[in-house]
Amino acid sequence: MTVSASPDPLPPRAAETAGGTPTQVISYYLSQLAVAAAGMDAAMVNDMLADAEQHLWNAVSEGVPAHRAVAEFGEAADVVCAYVAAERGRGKGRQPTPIVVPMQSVSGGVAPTRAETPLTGFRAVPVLGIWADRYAWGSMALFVFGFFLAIAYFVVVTAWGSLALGTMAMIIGFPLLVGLLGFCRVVSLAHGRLIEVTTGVRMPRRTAPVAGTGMASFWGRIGLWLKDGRSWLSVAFLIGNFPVAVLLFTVFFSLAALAKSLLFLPIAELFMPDQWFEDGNGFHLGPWQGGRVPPLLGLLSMVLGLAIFTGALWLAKGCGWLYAQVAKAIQVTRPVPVGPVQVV
Amino acid sequence: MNESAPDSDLSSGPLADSINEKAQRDLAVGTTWLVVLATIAKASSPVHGYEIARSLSHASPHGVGVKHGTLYPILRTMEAEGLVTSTLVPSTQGPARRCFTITPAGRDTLGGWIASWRSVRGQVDELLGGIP
Repeated sequence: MTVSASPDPLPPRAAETAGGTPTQVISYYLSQLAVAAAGMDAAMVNDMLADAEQHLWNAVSEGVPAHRAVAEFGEAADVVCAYVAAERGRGKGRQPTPIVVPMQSVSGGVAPTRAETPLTGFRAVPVLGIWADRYAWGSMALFVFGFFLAIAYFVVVTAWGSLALGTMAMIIGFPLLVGLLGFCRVVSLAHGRLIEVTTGVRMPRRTAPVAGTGMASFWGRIGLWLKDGRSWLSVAFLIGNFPVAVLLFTVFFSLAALAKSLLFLPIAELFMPDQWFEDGNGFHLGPWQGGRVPPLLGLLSMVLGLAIFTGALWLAKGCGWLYAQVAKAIQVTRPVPVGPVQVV
Repeated sequence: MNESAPDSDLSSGPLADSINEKAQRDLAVGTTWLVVLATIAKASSPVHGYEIARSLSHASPHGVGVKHGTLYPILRTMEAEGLVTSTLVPSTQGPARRCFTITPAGRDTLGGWIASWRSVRGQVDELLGGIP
Protein backbone atom coordinates (compact mmCIF):
# COMPACT_ATOMS: atom_id res chain seq x y z
CA MET A 1 0.00 0.00 0.00
CA THR A 2 1.18 3.48 -0.57
CA VAL A 3 0.03 7.00 -0.84
CA SER A 4 -0.24 8.08 -4.42
CA ALA A 5 2.62 10.35 -5.29
CA SER A 6 3.40 8.89 -8.65
CA PRO A 7 3.05 11.33 -11.57
CA ASP A 8 -0.46 10.26 -12.54
CA PRO A 9 -2.48 12.49 -14.85
CA LEU A 10 -4.18 15.19 -12.84
CA PRO A 11 -7.86 14.70 -12.05
CA PRO A 12 -10.11 17.11 -13.97
CA ARG A 13 -10.74 19.39 -10.97
CA ALA A 14 -7.05 19.73 -10.20
CA ALA A 15 -6.30 20.42 -13.84
CA GLU A 16 -9.05 23.02 -13.85
CA THR A 17 -7.24 24.97 -11.13
CA ALA A 18 -3.70 24.35 -12.33
CA GLY A 19 -3.36 27.86 -13.71
CA GLY A 20 -4.11 29.68 -10.44
CA THR A 21 -1.91 30.88 -7.62
CA PRO A 22 -1.51 28.52 -4.64
CA THR A 23 -4.02 30.59 -2.67
CA GLN A 24 -6.56 30.33 -5.50
CA VAL A 25 -6.00 26.64 -6.10
CA ILE A 26 -6.25 25.76 -2.42
CA SER A 27 -9.24 28.02 -1.82
CA TYR A 28 -11.04 26.54 -4.79
CA TYR A 29 -10.35 23.01 -3.61
CA LEU A 30 -11.57 23.86 -0.11
CA SER A 31 -14.77 25.24 -1.61
CA GLN A 32 -15.17 21.94 -3.52
CA LEU A 33 -14.75 20.05 -0.25
CA ALA A 34 -17.30 22.30 1.45
CA VAL A 35 -19.78 21.71 -1.37
CA ALA A 36 -19.23 17.94 -1.21
CA ALA A 37 -19.87 18.02 2.55
CA ALA A 38 -22.96 20.24 2.35
CA GLY A 39 -25.56 19.34 4.96
CA MET A 40 -23.14 17.46 7.19
CA ASP A 41 -22.20 18.35 10.75
CA ALA A 42 -20.59 21.79 10.74
CA ALA A 43 -17.91 20.80 13.25
CA MET A 44 -16.87 17.79 11.17
CA VAL A 45 -16.74 19.93 8.04
CA ASN A 46 -14.68 22.52 9.90
CA ASP A 47 -12.17 19.87 10.99
CA MET A 48 -11.97 18.45 7.49
CA LEU A 49 -11.34 21.86 5.95
CA ALA A 50 -8.77 22.71 8.62
CA ASP A 51 -6.89 19.44 8.00
CA ALA A 52 -6.99 19.98 4.23
CA GLU A 53 -5.86 23.58 4.42
CA GLN A 54 -3.01 22.78 6.79
CA HIS A 55 -1.87 19.81 4.71
CA LEU A 56 -1.99 21.65 1.39
CA TRP A 57 -0.07 24.64 2.69
CA ASN A 58 2.50 22.31 4.24
CA ALA A 59 2.89 20.61 0.86
CA VAL A 60 3.24 23.96 -0.91
CA SER A 61 5.82 25.12 1.61
CA GLU A 62 7.78 21.94 0.81
CA GLY A 63 7.92 23.00 -2.85
CA VAL A 64 5.08 20.85 -4.19
CA PRO A 65 2.96 22.70 -6.79
CA ALA A 66 -0.47 23.47 -5.37
CA HIS A 67 -2.36 21.63 -8.12
CA ARG A 68 -0.22 18.52 -7.52
CA ALA A 69 -0.82 18.75 -3.75
CA VAL A 70 -4.56 18.96 -4.41
CA ALA A 71 -4.43 15.98 -6.76
CA GLU A 72 -2.56 13.93 -4.15
CA PHE A 73 -5.00 14.98 -1.43
CA GLY A 74 -7.83 13.23 -3.25
CA GLU A 75 -11.20 13.82 -4.83
CA ALA A 76 -13.47 15.85 -2.55
CA ALA A 77 -16.12 13.10 -2.41
CA ASP A 78 -13.56 10.47 -1.33
CA VAL A 79 -12.20 12.70 1.41
CA VAL A 80 -15.70 13.48 2.70
CA CYS A 81 -16.53 9.75 2.73
CA ALA A 82 -13.43 9.04 4.81
CA TYR A 83 -14.46 11.62 7.40
CA VAL A 84 -18.04 10.40 7.51
CA ALA A 85 -16.83 6.82 8.03
CA ALA A 86 -14.54 7.92 10.86
CA GLU A 87 -17.34 9.96 12.40
CA ARG A 88 -19.68 6.96 12.39
CA GLY A 89 -17.15 4.95 14.40
CA ARG A 90 -16.70 7.79 16.90
CA GLY A 91 -17.72 7.16 20.48
CA LYS A 92 -18.66 3.54 19.96
CA GLY A 93 -15.96 2.38 22.36
CA ARG A 94 -14.25 0.15 19.83
CA GLN A 95 -10.56 -0.16 19.20
CA PRO A 96 -9.63 0.97 15.70
CA THR A 97 -8.30 -2.04 13.89
CA PRO A 98 -6.85 -2.74 10.49
CA ILE A 99 -9.49 -4.55 8.51
CA VAL A 100 -7.28 -7.51 7.69
CA VAL A 101 -6.22 -8.07 11.29
CA PRO A 102 -8.54 -10.19 13.42
CA MET A 103 -9.99 -8.10 16.22
CA GLN A 104 -9.43 -10.81 18.85
CA SER A 105 -5.71 -10.92 18.29
CA VAL A 106 -5.32 -7.16 18.50
CA SER A 107 -7.02 -6.24 21.70
CA GLY A 108 -7.25 -9.62 23.39
CA GLY A 109 -10.87 -10.07 22.52
CA VAL A 110 -13.76 -8.38 20.83
CA ALA A 111 -14.35 -4.99 22.39
CA PRO A 112 -17.47 -5.11 24.51
CA THR A 113 -20.46 -3.08 23.49
CA ARG A 114 -21.75 -0.68 26.11
CA ALA A 115 -23.91 -2.55 28.54
CA GLU A 116 -27.45 -1.51 29.41
CA THR A 117 -27.54 -0.06 32.91
CA PRO A 118 -30.51 0.86 35.09
CA LEU A 119 -29.75 4.49 34.24
CA THR A 120 -30.10 3.95 30.49
CA GLY A 121 -33.50 2.35 31.13
CA PHE A 122 -34.60 5.23 33.37
CA ARG A 123 -33.63 7.73 30.67
CA ALA A 124 -36.60 6.52 28.63
CA VAL A 125 -39.08 7.55 31.36
CA PRO A 126 -41.06 10.59 30.19
CA VAL A 127 -40.10 13.91 31.82
CA LEU A 128 -38.29 12.38 34.82
CA GLY A 129 -35.88 10.54 32.53
CA ILE A 130 -33.90 13.78 32.36
CA TRP A 131 -32.46 12.89 35.80
CA ALA A 132 -30.48 10.11 34.09
CA ASP A 133 -29.30 12.31 31.22
CA ARG A 134 -25.64 13.07 31.70
CA TYR A 135 -25.73 15.95 29.25
CA ALA A 136 -28.42 17.72 31.28
CA TRP A 137 -26.22 17.43 34.38
CA GLY A 138 -23.19 18.37 32.30
CA SER A 139 -24.89 21.49 30.98
CA MET A 140 -25.88 22.52 34.48
CA ALA A 141 -22.32 21.98 35.69
CA LEU A 142 -21.04 23.99 32.72
CA PHE A 143 -23.31 26.90 33.56
CA VAL A 144 -22.42 26.88 37.25
CA PHE A 145 -18.67 26.25 37.07
CA GLY A 146 -18.18 27.82 33.62
CA PHE A 147 -19.00 31.15 35.28
CA PHE A 148 -15.56 31.17 36.91
CA LEU A 149 -13.91 30.33 33.59
CA ALA A 150 -15.85 33.14 31.92
CA ILE A 151 -14.54 35.60 34.51
CA ALA A 152 -10.98 34.39 33.89
CA TYR A 153 -11.35 34.69 30.09
CA PHE A 154 -12.84 38.15 30.38
CA VAL A 155 -10.13 39.44 32.72
CA VAL A 156 -7.28 38.05 30.61
CA VAL A 157 -8.71 39.28 27.29
CA THR A 158 -9.52 42.78 28.50
CA ALA A 159 -6.18 43.16 30.30
CA TRP A 160 -4.15 41.77 27.39
CA GLY A 161 -6.18 43.75 24.85
CA SER A 162 -5.75 46.98 26.79
CA LEU A 163 -2.01 46.40 27.02
CA ALA A 164 -1.78 45.69 23.28
CA LEU A 165 -3.85 48.72 22.30
CA GLY A 166 -1.95 50.90 24.77
CA THR A 167 1.39 49.96 23.24
CA MET A 168 0.16 50.17 19.66
CA ALA A 169 2.03 53.43 19.17
CA MET A 170 5.18 51.38 19.69
CA ILE A 171 5.72 48.40 17.41
CA ILE A 172 5.33 45.93 20.30
CA GLY A 173 1.54 46.45 20.31
CA PHE A 174 1.03 44.58 17.02
CA PRO A 175 2.70 41.30 18.03
CA LEU A 176 0.90 41.56 21.37
CA LEU A 177 -2.41 41.89 19.56
CA VAL A 178 -1.60 38.93 17.31
CA GLY A 179 -0.66 36.95 20.43
CA LEU A 180 -4.02 37.83 21.93
CA LEU A 181 -5.82 36.68 18.76
CA GLY A 182 -3.93 33.38 18.82
CA PHE A 183 -4.65 32.95 22.52
CA CYS A 184 -8.36 33.57 21.96
CA ARG A 185 -8.52 31.02 19.14
CA VAL A 186 -6.83 28.35 21.25
CA VAL A 187 -8.94 29.09 24.33
CA SER A 188 -12.14 29.10 22.23
CA LEU A 189 -11.18 25.72 20.82
CA ALA A 190 -10.41 24.33 24.28
CA HIS A 191 -13.66 25.76 25.63
CA GLY A 192 -15.39 24.08 22.70
CA ARG A 193 -14.06 20.71 23.86
CA LEU A 194 -15.42 21.43 27.34
CA ILE A 195 -18.78 22.26 25.77
CA GLU A 196 -18.71 18.99 23.81
CA VAL A 197 -17.97 16.92 26.90
CA THR A 198 -20.71 18.58 28.94
CA THR A 199 -23.47 19.03 26.32
CA GLY A 200 -22.74 16.22 23.87
CA VAL A 201 -22.79 18.55 20.86
CA ARG A 202 -19.97 17.75 18.42
CA MET A 203 -17.55 20.69 18.41
CA PRO A 204 -14.55 21.40 16.16
CA ARG A 205 -11.26 19.80 17.12
CA ARG A 206 -9.15 21.90 14.81
CA THR A 207 -8.94 25.58 14.22
CA ALA A 208 -8.38 26.54 10.60
CA PRO A 209 -5.05 28.21 9.88
CA VAL A 210 -5.24 31.90 9.11
CA ALA A 211 -5.74 32.05 5.35
CA GLY A 212 -2.72 32.93 3.25
CA THR A 213 -0.05 32.91 5.97
CA GLY A 214 1.67 30.00 4.25
CA MET A 215 3.46 32.23 1.77
CA ALA A 216 3.52 35.53 3.67
CA SER A 217 6.42 37.36 5.29
CA PHE A 218 6.55 38.01 9.06
CA TRP A 219 4.82 41.38 8.79
CA GLY A 220 2.51 40.00 6.12
CA ARG A 221 1.44 37.30 8.54
CA ILE A 222 0.72 39.85 11.23
CA GLY A 223 -1.44 41.75 8.73
CA LEU A 224 -3.30 38.56 7.77
CA TRP A 225 -3.87 37.68 11.41
CA LEU A 226 -5.30 41.14 12.07
CA LYS A 227 -7.61 40.77 9.05
CA ASP A 228 -8.74 37.27 10.03
CA GLY A 229 -12.42 37.40 10.98
CA ARG A 230 -12.37 34.09 12.88
CA SER A 231 -9.79 35.38 15.36
CA TRP A 232 -11.83 38.49 16.10
CA LEU A 233 -14.92 36.34 16.50
CA SER A 234 -13.02 34.30 19.09
CA VAL A 235 -12.19 37.49 20.97
CA ALA A 236 -15.84 38.56 20.76
CA PHE A 237 -16.89 35.13 22.02
CA LEU A 238 -14.66 35.28 25.09
CA ILE A 239 -15.86 38.79 25.93
CA GLY A 240 -19.52 38.18 25.06
CA ASN A 241 -19.44 34.90 26.98
CA PHE A 242 -19.04 36.84 30.23
CA PRO A 243 -22.51 38.44 30.49
CA VAL A 244 -24.09 35.25 29.15
CA ALA A 245 -22.24 33.20 31.78
CA VAL A 246 -23.37 35.62 34.52
CA LEU A 247 -26.99 35.25 33.42
CA LEU A 248 -26.82 31.47 33.14
CA PHE A 249 -25.02 31.14 36.47
CA THR A 250 -27.62 33.31 38.18
CA VAL A 251 -30.56 31.40 36.73
CA PHE A 252 -29.25 27.89 37.30
CA PHE A 253 -27.61 28.51 40.65
CA SER A 254 -30.83 30.10 41.91
CA LEU A 255 -33.01 27.31 40.54
CA ALA A 256 -30.73 24.64 41.98
CA ALA A 257 -30.59 26.36 45.38
CA LEU A 258 -34.37 26.83 45.49
CA ALA A 259 -35.07 23.26 44.41
CA LYS A 260 -32.55 21.87 46.86
CA SER A 261 -34.07 23.84 49.74
CA LEU A 262 -37.62 22.76 48.94
CA LEU A 263 -36.54 19.18 48.42
CA PHE A 264 -34.35 18.65 51.46
CA LEU A 265 -35.61 21.07 54.09
CA PRO A 266 -38.52 18.86 55.23
CA ILE A 267 -36.09 15.96 55.61
CA ALA A 268 -33.48 18.08 57.34
CA GLU A 269 -36.14 19.31 59.78
CA LEU A 270 -36.56 15.81 61.16
CA PHE A 271 -33.00 15.94 62.46
CA MET A 272 -33.07 19.51 63.81
CA PRO A 273 -33.44 20.10 67.58
CA ASP A 274 -36.53 22.03 68.80
CA GLN A 275 -34.53 25.05 69.95
CA TRP A 276 -33.65 25.79 66.34
CA PHE A 277 -37.33 26.64 65.79
CA GLU A 278 -37.55 29.08 68.74
CA ASP A 279 -36.38 32.63 69.03
CA GLY A 280 -34.75 32.04 72.45
CA ASN A 281 -37.77 33.34 74.42
CA GLY A 282 -39.98 30.33 73.88
CA PHE A 283 -41.75 31.70 70.80
CA HIS A 284 -41.90 29.44 67.81
CA LEU A 285 -40.64 30.72 64.51
CA GLY A 286 -42.93 30.42 61.51
CA PRO A 287 -46.72 30.16 61.36
CA TRP A 288 -46.96 26.45 62.10
CA GLN A 289 -47.45 24.52 65.31
CA GLY A 290 -44.08 23.98 67.00
CA GLY A 291 -42.39 26.01 64.27
CA ARG A 292 -42.06 22.92 62.11
CA VAL A 293 -43.54 22.51 58.66
CA PRO A 294 -46.57 20.14 58.75
CA PRO A 295 -45.92 16.75 57.10
CA LEU A 296 -48.36 17.35 54.22
CA LEU A 297 -46.85 20.72 53.46
CA GLY A 298 -43.40 19.15 53.72
CA LEU A 299 -44.41 16.57 51.17
CA LEU A 300 -45.74 19.26 48.86
CA SER A 301 -42.50 21.17 49.30
CA MET A 302 -40.53 18.11 48.25
CA VAL A 303 -42.72 17.54 45.20
CA LEU A 304 -42.34 21.19 44.24
CA GLY A 305 -38.55 20.98 44.70
CA LEU A 306 -38.44 17.88 42.55
CA ALA A 307 -40.51 19.58 39.85
CA ILE A 308 -38.35 22.71 39.88
CA PHE A 309 -35.14 20.73 39.63
CA THR A 310 -36.57 18.54 36.86
CA GLY A 311 -37.56 21.68 34.99
CA ALA A 312 -34.10 23.14 35.63
CA LEU A 313 -32.48 20.04 34.14
CA TRP A 314 -34.64 20.30 31.01
CA LEU A 315 -33.89 24.00 30.78
CA ALA A 316 -30.17 23.33 31.25
CA LYS A 317 -30.20 20.75 28.49
CA GLY A 318 -31.98 23.11 26.11
CA CYS A 319 -29.77 26.06 27.00
CA GLY A 320 -26.70 23.82 26.72
CA TRP A 321 -27.66 22.80 23.20
CA LEU A 322 -28.32 26.42 22.21
CA TYR A 323 -25.09 27.64 23.82
CA ALA A 324 -23.14 24.91 22.02
CA GLN A 325 -24.73 25.80 18.67
CA VAL A 326 -23.75 29.45 19.07
CA ALA A 327 -20.19 28.53 20.09
CA LYS A 328 -19.96 26.10 17.18
CA ALA A 329 -21.25 28.65 14.67
CA ILE A 330 -18.55 31.07 15.82
CA GLN A 331 -15.83 28.44 15.57
CA VAL A 332 -16.76 27.09 12.16
CA THR A 333 -17.15 30.46 10.44
CA ARG A 334 -14.77 30.60 7.52
CA PRO A 335 -13.85 33.37 5.15
CA VAL A 336 -15.73 33.24 1.85
CA PRO A 337 -13.66 30.96 -0.41
CA VAL A 338 -12.15 32.18 -3.62
CA GLY A 339 -14.46 31.35 -6.52
CA PRO A 340 -13.64 29.00 -9.39
CA VAL A 341 -10.26 29.85 -10.87
CA GLN A 342 -10.10 30.80 -14.50
CA VAL A 343 -7.64 28.71 -16.43
CA VAL A 344 -4.98 30.89 -17.98
CA MET B 1 -17.77 -24.30 -28.11
CA ASN B 2 -15.96 -21.25 -26.97
CA GLU B 3 -16.28 -20.66 -23.24
CA SER B 4 -13.19 -18.57 -22.91
CA ALA B 5 -14.73 -15.39 -24.32
CA PRO B 6 -16.38 -14.25 -21.07
CA ASP B 7 -13.11 -14.97 -19.21
CA SER B 8 -11.13 -12.79 -21.57
CA ASP B 9 -13.70 -10.01 -21.08
CA LEU B 10 -13.26 -10.26 -17.33
CA SER B 11 -9.49 -10.08 -17.49
CA SER B 12 -9.25 -7.01 -19.68
CA GLY B 13 -12.54 -5.11 -19.87
CA PRO B 14 -13.86 -2.23 -17.79
CA LEU B 15 -15.41 -4.71 -15.35
CA ALA B 16 -11.98 -6.26 -14.78
CA ASP B 17 -10.53 -2.81 -14.14
CA SER B 18 -13.27 -2.12 -11.65
CA ILE B 19 -12.76 -5.45 -9.85
CA ASN B 20 -9.00 -5.02 -9.78
CA GLU B 21 -9.36 -1.51 -8.48
CA LYS B 22 -11.75 -2.67 -5.76
CA ALA B 23 -9.47 -5.52 -4.72
CA GLN B 24 -6.46 -3.24 -4.56
CA ARG B 25 -8.41 -0.60 -2.66
CA ASP B 26 -9.61 -3.18 -0.14
CA LEU B 27 -6.07 -4.38 0.40
CA ALA B 28 -4.88 -0.81 0.83
CA VAL B 29 -7.62 0.14 3.26
CA GLY B 30 -6.98 -2.96 5.31
CA THR B 31 -3.37 -2.07 5.88
CA THR B 32 -3.55 1.71 6.08
CA TRP B 33 -3.95 1.79 9.86
CA LEU B 34 -1.00 -0.52 10.28
CA VAL B 35 1.40 1.37 8.04
CA VAL B 36 0.38 4.79 9.30
CA LEU B 37 0.97 3.80 12.91
CA ALA B 38 4.21 2.07 11.94
CA THR B 39 5.39 5.22 10.15
CA ILE B 40 4.74 7.33 13.23
CA ALA B 41 6.45 4.72 15.43
CA LYS B 42 9.56 4.65 13.23
CA ALA B 43 10.00 8.42 13.19
CA SER B 44 12.68 9.72 15.51
CA SER B 45 10.75 12.94 16.17
CA PRO B 46 7.09 13.98 15.95
CA VAL B 47 5.84 13.84 12.35
CA HIS B 48 3.11 15.87 10.65
CA GLY B 49 0.49 14.56 8.26
CA TYR B 50 2.24 15.58 5.07
CA GLU B 51 5.47 13.98 6.25
CA ILE B 52 3.64 10.71 6.96
CA ALA B 53 2.08 10.76 3.50
CA ARG B 54 5.45 11.48 1.91
CA SER B 55 7.13 8.65 3.84
CA LEU B 56 4.48 6.24 2.66
CA SER B 57 4.93 7.40 -0.93
CA HIS B 58 8.69 6.93 -0.75
CA ALA B 59 8.28 3.47 0.77
CA SER B 60 6.28 2.23 -2.18
CA PRO B 61 6.00 4.71 -5.07
CA HIS B 62 4.11 2.37 -7.41
CA GLY B 63 1.72 0.84 -4.94
CA VAL B 64 -2.00 1.21 -4.54
CA GLY B 65 -3.01 4.83 -4.06
CA VAL B 66 -4.45 6.06 -0.80
CA LYS B 67 -5.14 9.74 -1.01
CA HIS B 68 -3.55 12.07 1.50
CA GLY B 69 -6.92 13.45 2.52
CA THR B 70 -8.04 10.07 3.84
CA LEU B 71 -5.11 9.86 6.27
CA TYR B 72 -6.39 12.62 8.55
CA PRO B 73 -9.56 10.90 9.77
CA ILE B 74 -7.34 7.93 10.64
CA LEU B 75 -4.89 10.13 12.54
CA ARG B 76 -7.78 11.83 14.30
CA THR B 77 -9.29 8.52 15.37
CA MET B 78 -5.91 7.22 16.49
CA GLU B 79 -5.52 10.30 18.63
CA ALA B 80 -9.00 9.92 20.10
CA GLU B 81 -8.23 6.30 20.95
CA GLY B 82 -4.96 7.24 22.65
CA LEU B 83 -2.66 5.54 20.15
CA VAL B 84 -0.94 8.80 19.23
CA THR B 85 -0.70 12.28 20.67
CA SER B 86 -0.43 15.47 18.70
CA THR B 87 1.06 18.89 19.25
CA LEU B 88 0.85 22.01 17.15
CA VAL B 89 4.33 23.05 16.07
CA PRO B 90 4.90 26.53 14.60
CA SER B 91 6.58 26.60 11.22
CA THR B 92 8.53 29.37 9.55
CA GLN B 93 7.63 28.02 6.10
CA GLY B 94 3.89 27.77 6.41
CA PRO B 95 1.05 27.38 8.87
CA ALA B 96 1.62 25.62 12.17
CA ARG B 97 1.87 21.86 11.77
CA ARG B 98 0.12 19.25 13.85
CA CYS B 99 2.80 16.68 14.66
CA PHE B 100 2.06 13.18 15.89
CA THR B 101 3.92 10.93 18.33
CA ILE B 102 3.08 7.35 19.20
CA THR B 103 2.06 6.63 22.80
CA PRO B 104 3.05 3.54 24.86
CA ALA B 105 -0.49 2.24 24.29
CA GLY B 106 0.00 2.83 20.59
CA ARG B 107 3.23 0.81 20.63
CA ASP B 108 1.47 -2.07 22.38
CA THR B 109 -1.34 -1.97 19.85
CA LEU B 110 1.11 -1.77 16.96
CA GLY B 111 2.92 -4.83 18.31
CA GLY B 112 -0.36 -6.74 18.26
CA TRP B 113 -1.17 -5.56 14.75
CA ILE B 114 2.26 -6.52 13.43
CA ALA B 115 1.95 -10.01 14.94
CA SER B 116 -1.49 -10.38 13.38
CA TRP B 117 -0.28 -9.05 10.05
CA ARG B 118 2.59 -11.55 9.95
CA SER B 119 0.25 -14.36 10.84
CA VAL B 120 -2.26 -13.35 8.15
CA ARG B 121 0.50 -12.83 5.60
CA GLY B 122 1.88 -16.31 6.33
CA GLN B 123 -1.55 -17.86 5.89
CA VAL B 124 -2.17 -15.98 2.65
CA ASP B 125 1.28 -16.88 1.30
CA GLU B 126 0.58 -20.51 2.12
CA LEU B 127 -2.74 -20.34 0.27
CA LEU B 128 -1.14 -18.63 -2.70
CA GLY B 129 1.73 -21.09 -2.83
CA GLY B 130 1.81 -23.16 -5.98
CA ILE B 131 -0.05 -20.62 -8.07
CA PRO B 132 2.21 -19.62 -10.95
